[in-house]
Amino acid sequence: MGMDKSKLIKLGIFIAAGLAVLIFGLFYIGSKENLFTKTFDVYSVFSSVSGLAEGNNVQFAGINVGTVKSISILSTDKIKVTMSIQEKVREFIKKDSEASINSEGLVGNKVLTIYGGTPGSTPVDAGDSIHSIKPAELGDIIANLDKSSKEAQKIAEQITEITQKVNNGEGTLGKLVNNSDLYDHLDSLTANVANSTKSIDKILAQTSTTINSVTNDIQSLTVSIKLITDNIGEITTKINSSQSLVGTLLTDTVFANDIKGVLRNTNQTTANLEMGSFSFYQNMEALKHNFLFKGYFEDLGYWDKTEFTNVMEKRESRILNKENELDQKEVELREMQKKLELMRNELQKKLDSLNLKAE
Amino acid sequence: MSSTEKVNKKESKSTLKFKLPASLEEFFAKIAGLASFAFKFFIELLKPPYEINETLKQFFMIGYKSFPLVAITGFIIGLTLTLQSIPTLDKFGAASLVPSMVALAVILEIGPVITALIFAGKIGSGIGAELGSMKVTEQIDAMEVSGTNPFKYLVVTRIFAATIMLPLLVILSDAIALFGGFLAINMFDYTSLKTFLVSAMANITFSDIIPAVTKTFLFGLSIGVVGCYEGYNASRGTESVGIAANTAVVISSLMVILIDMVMVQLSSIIF
Repeated sequence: MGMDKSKLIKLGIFIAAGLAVLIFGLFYIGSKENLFTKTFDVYSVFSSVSGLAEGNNVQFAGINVGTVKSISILSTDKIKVTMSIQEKVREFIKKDSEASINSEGLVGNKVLTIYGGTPGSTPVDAGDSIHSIKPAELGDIIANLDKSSKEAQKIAEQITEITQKVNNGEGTLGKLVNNSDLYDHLDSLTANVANSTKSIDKILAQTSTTINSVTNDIQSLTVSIKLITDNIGEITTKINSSQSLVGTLLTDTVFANDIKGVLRNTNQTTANLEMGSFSFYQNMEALKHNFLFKGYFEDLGYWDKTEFTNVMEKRESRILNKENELDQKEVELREMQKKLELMRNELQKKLDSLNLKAE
Repeated sequence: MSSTEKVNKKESKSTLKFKLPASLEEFFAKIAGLASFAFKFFIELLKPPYEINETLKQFFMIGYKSFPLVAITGFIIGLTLTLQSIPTLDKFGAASLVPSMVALAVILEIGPVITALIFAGKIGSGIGAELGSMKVTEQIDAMEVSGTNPFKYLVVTRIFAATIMLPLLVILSDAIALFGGFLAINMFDYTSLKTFLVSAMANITFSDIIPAVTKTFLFGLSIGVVGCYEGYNASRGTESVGIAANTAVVISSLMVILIDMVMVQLSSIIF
């Protein structure tokens, strides 16, 4: 007795659907339990596992990377927890990683959490031990909470005491709260502050305008300074290029030595002139008093003793003045030489700094 | 003389040296009858020839035809279970655990048991009534006379189909129930199907799935055995058809609950 084909197809669909759901479920749970992925085992020893059970998740950086494979008691305070971890995360779990037992939420399942070790250290091998951290027991947490609540109670009592004192107007704060004079003062103070603020606003507005104009000036000044800097740059270039007198002075040491020589010669010439003029004076005096020329000089009117004396004194004083002037000139020239030396040094420094900037 | 009558004759002829209440005697006789019937099923199942076409037909009748009923039941169970769990779990701030709780409840217990009970009601009574009426109308005797093994043709195919089809129905029913749960959650808040499934399957492991699926085979087997036994051993009379159908449902439902209890205990020992 054969079966209708349409019935067979319907039956086939029904069976296939059932098997598909079964297979999907098996693979989904299998992948969750790492049944179809390559794993390796490591273990950790705890003093208490706080309710951790076989099959609980092992997390690394908040990701489920494996499951707890087995839990066995080694001794009174040593519980060995073997975990099965996905092979693909082995490189991230280091030999100095640490394991701890935590809860998924306050009332959730227990999870074994692995904390990553030092990035440079070597990864764990299969069968290695991971150092354990003592899990936070609920009892300890409750004990801490109890302690904290007692402390909080003390604080609350103290706050109540302070509040009562404040309400009774005791202490600085109590007076502050209860004394209306202070409020009045504060009120007037606030009004004054408001007025002051207005004035300050005005000043600020003015200052702002001034600052704006100053900023503009500074901007234009900056442009000018840039121009000046450019000019200085040009000047420095020219100075260095020995095309100018100063450049020659700075760069040509032979020329500077020549100037020194000239100055020295000028001094010598001045001394010679002094000597010469004196000698010429003496000669003229001798001529005037010579019997051959005496008459001539008398006719010319040169030979008046008082007048002659006066004239000679004037000449003497003029010569002395000239001598002083020459001395002064010499001093000035020496100062100029010193200044030139200083300027030369400064210009050299500036040139160096400009060269550095250019580099 | 048919094998059914042999069993009946043995029961009626047994003279005990100690006196038991009639109902208790009947009860023990039924246990023995069911055990021997099941034993015979396994023997006949393995012995060729195999009634493949009839088995496929029974797959269709027992499995496929039961699917709509089972699907509707599963969907409603998932939906109502979720709807009732949300406010309760919400009080504890654990509304996020609803998918997980529904999945655990449906896959471990409610799905297999409710589906099996529905299946017992539909298939157990159906088989009982069908075989009972065949017995009353002497069709079974006619088959035996014509050289066909009625036990192999009628009983083995039905029991085997029930054993194989019930797990499939339970798996589909579980999936539909979870979908119902997903819809129920979406009545309160938006959740994607993937989020729901991840959350639902979060606490389900192989140690939960294996006993849950295993027991459904036993449920199917017991429903098939009880249904066929009651029908095959129906007395000669019209009312016996109704009695056979009724007894099949009652006993198979009870068997489902008993097997469930034993399997839960067994799985907690093994896993």
